[in-house]
Amino acid sequence: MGKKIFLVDDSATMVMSVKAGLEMNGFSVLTAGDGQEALERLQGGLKPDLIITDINMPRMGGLELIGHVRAMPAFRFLPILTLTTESDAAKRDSAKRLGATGWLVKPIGGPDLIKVIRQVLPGS
Amino acid sequence: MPSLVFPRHTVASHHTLPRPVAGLIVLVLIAMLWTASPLLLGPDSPLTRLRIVLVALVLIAVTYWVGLGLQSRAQPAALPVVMLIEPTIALVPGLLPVEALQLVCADMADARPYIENMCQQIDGVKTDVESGVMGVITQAAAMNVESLDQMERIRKSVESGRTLTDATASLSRIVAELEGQLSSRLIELQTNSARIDGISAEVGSLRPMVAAISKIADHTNLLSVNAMIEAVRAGAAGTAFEVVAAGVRKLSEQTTTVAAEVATRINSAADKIAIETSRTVRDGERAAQDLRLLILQLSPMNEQLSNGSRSLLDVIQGVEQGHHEMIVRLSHVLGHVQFQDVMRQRLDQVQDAMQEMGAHLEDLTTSAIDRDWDGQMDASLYSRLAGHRNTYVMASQVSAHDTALGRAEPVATQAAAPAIQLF
Repeated sequence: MGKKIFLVDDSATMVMSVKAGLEMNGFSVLTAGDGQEALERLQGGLKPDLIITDINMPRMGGLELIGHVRAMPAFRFLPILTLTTESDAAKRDSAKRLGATGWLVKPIGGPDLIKVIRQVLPGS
Repeated sequence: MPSLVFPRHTVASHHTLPRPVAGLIVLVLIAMLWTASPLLLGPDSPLTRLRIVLVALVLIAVTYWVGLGLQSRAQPAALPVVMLIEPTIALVPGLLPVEALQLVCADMADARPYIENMCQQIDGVKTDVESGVMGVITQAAAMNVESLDQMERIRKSVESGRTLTDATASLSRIVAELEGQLSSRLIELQTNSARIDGISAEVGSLRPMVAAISKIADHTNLLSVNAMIEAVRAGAAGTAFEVVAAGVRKLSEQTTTVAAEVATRINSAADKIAIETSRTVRDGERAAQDLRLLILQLSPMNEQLSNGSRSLLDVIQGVEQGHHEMIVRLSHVLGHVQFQDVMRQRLDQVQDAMQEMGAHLEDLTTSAIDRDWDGQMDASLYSRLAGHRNTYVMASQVSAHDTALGRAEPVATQAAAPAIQLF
């Protein structure tokens, strides 16, 4: 099986469409509905190769999630991409400061997403 | 008797003079009274002019009430009075008959359910679109699964095709080897045939020897007969010689018999050898001919099989390429359906704004008919609208807001930011 990607988004259709697109291209995909659920699963032992997260989510947003993930020693160098409708430059800069690897704005074409993933994920 | 209330805004009547005209008339009247007051009430009175103005205002108010009363009875005479007085009343802020205001408030009370209906409609749209998009995604995923199954079948066909190609290549080598061996065998057959012919000839060459042996046996027999005759002539002294002669005769007779037998067998063997040789050569040549025909038939079949295998591999590779292209197109489709999430967020924002407006109108309606209301709201509709700008997530929302409010230069810098940025 291919590299494991952890997809975090509160939109059911986003999760379905991105998951289907990634699996078509040979990736294994796990999902969470918000930052809180994602953090619990990571603390529970989940070891993805890449995290793709939305920014504006209930309970815990993407920026807060990135901060928590980077604080965990096992995930200090894990690639983290944001996939969001957010256009605020300040939030983008916050994501960068917190340790995000890239900032992607929805909607993003499937082949473009695959290209970016292959760039940030060695061996994919 | 109608009572006066003081709302923030007034409602203009249909049958009025323009306000500037009415205001001018009232000012003229007041000016006339002001000027005439010294003549009417005496000069140098400190309160003379003020009293005149107050009296004028009281007269105006009384006239207005009278006019309204006439109007309520549909009296034509009320019209000029109302036409003059109502705009005058409008100049004093906050004077409006409560019946009209109550009608407005009653109408505005329906704003909340109106907005609620619109929000429900939007909810329906979001649900329907989400359902449709999920259907599209499900179908795209199913297409991918079917294509993967197809690819698996194709991979197995590729393996079989390659095996077939290898088999036809081996067959070609076998046919070539067979041809080579056939030629060798034919040469061997011819060589063996020649050798057998030689042996047959050698056997045949024994015939004269057998004839010679028979002749020698005949001569020996003749000699034994002569010996017998001489033995008889010799009498008793020739008795032993007679016995010897008899033995020799017997021996010659046996020799003759054996020679005849040998001759017969040699002839038979020679004939059989000739027959067998001929048959072997004939059979061998026939078998060679048949094999050659078979090889001739196999060669074009083998070539067709090779061509077919190559064509099959080409087709399979083309299908594989088509599958990869389909994956790319499906990826594009799945990227495009992300519009639904963008649309949902924008509709969420519109719904929130509509709910806010409904609550604002509800508060306004309640306040407007409150006699103690000071005319102030927690936040005006305009300030609420301005506050939305800080809640927008997308550049397109900000741009639409600025355009709607008539800003000269809508925000464009954030919209120009690239969709993909790697840090």
